[in-house]
Amino acid sequence: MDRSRRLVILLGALVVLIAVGVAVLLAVDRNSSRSVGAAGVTPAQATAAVEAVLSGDREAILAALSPPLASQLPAELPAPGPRPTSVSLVDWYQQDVFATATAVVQQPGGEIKLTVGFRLVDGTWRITFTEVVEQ
Amino acid sequence: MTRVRRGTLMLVLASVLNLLLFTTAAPESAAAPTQCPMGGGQTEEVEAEKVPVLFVHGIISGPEFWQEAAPGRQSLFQLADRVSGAAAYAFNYRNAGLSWVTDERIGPALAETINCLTATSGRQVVVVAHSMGGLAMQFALAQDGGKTANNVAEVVTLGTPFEGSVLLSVSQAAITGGDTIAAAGGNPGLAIGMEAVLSLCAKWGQGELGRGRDNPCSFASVPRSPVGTALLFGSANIDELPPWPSDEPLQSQAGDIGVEVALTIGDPPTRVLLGRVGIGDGPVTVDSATATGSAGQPVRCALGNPLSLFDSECWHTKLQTNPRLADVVLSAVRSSVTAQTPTPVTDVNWFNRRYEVACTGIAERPFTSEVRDGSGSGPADALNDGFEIRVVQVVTGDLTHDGSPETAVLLACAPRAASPNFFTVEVQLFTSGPRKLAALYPPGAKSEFGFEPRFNGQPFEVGADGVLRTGANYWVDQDGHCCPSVSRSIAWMWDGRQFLPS
Repeated sequence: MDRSRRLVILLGALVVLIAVGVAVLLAVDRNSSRSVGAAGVTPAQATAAVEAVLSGDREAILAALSPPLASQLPAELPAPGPRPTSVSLVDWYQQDVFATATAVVQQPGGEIKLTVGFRLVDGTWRITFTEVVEQ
Repeated sequence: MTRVRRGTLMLVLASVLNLLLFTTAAPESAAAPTQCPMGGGQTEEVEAEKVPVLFVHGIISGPEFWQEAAPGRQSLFQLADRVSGAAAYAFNYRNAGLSWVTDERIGPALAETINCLTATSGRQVVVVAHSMGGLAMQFALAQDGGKTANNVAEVVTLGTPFEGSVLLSVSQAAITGGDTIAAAGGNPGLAIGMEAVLSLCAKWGQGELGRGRDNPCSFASVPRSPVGTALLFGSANIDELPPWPSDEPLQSQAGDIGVEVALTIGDPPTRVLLGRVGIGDGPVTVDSATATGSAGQPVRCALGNPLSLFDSECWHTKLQTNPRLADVVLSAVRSSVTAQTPTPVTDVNWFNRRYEVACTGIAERPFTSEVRDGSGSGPADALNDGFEIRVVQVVTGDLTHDGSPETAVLLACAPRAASPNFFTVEVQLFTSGPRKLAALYPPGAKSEFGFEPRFNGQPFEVGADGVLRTGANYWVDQDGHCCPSVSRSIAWMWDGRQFLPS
């Protein structure tokens, strides 16, 4: 009798422990998904647009820019330098057809961080501005 | 014995309780507060004889917008409330934040609040409106057949889109795949600036919608709401609003942020400037914010790049914290308080002010004369070449026995180039304001030759009994114009409504 009562108590404690564990896991998962959810998934094509602008190639730049910006691109541009070794976009925030992100650019001269604005034009992310925030 | 003491104690306690209940309940029933609706189902007690300063917020916002202040400064609401003779109130239409200004809860409710404030305070209202609040005001002014406009002393708008918002139009064009340069009125620079703003606004996103001041870009979610269409650049809804009353003073204020839009190209990274443009306060351009009313100089803020846009004190949702705009608002409030505060008659310069002159029996109709150093003039009419006005004497005393002094002014009116004896004299009586209480003429009939009795200033005084005594000449029988044969002193007694001659 005593043995079976002890078994019941042990089973009860086990159930409680499992419930607490599941609850903790759920809470952790919810918190982690919240922090991830602050910035959305970065479209790969947006990264390519930043690479195109950094390339210094006029045609590539024009194709990567939002139409108003493209209409104002000066005739003279800085001479193209070495291509960046890598470009990654983080902190992608999007609302409707506009977005902003941070571009982390590794290039021979070192790492720079840019804030980049985007607008979706005919299914393609085009750049609305770039501004260096860290060099 | 113990029971008796306990009983006595209970009686005493009951009496004290009764007394407390009675004394706390009495003021509520005796002094009913005078309150006005402030929108959103709220009411507020109104201070009598203080100029109400009514703050009206903009789209997706609330009254707390006006509590925001620059670091180390008081909010505009607090500053206005501290102006001597003024009291600040905030109208709230948060519950209708995404509706157009014609919604019952916005324009009509605002008119009701203004009319109540004037009726209760006895003063005209100064309105300070932000963004769409200015359009709500434009609609409200036409309510009640223009009665609301009569109750408003002055309006100051901060960033009101009188021609709509270019930013919303660019946003709308981008969403529908349209041409954003065309949406910016064919101005590529402006389109560049607005696209940069909208890109940055994406960071705040829809998740912040409704948090008002926490989100500088809350308007970016507007295009999908009914009010979104209404606020587009050149919108028909704005055009259909009743015109701003031509006699209603409006100071339309604008923010103007000069922003540079650039690209970073190549290695080493080189900044290439693609546009330097004034984007107004972001959502509202300077042209739109100043399209109605008398525009002040826009407050300008220069930025190197768009990244610090939302911290600029020229940004749309920061205009209420801008010290230069605060000065404009406070100056308007002080002017209105001065204009609406009655001046005691003892503080009035009676020899240098404007008079309404009847010039009875000579002029065809009453006219206004600006008197300087005791002399003024009046316009010509069909019979006369103009008039000379003269303040002959001024006396002050408590003529109505109300504890405040009144002033009596003896005014002579003569046609230009007439015989020296051809003139009239009238007495005008004023109380604080100065407000005209009465105009007096000597009682009695014309003489046989048609000469009317005329004040002669002997005497013209207020006695210790608070009675005005005036001397007058009377022509009797066949007296010539030169030579009235009777002089009489007349005492003027106040009967509570008018002055009656003795």
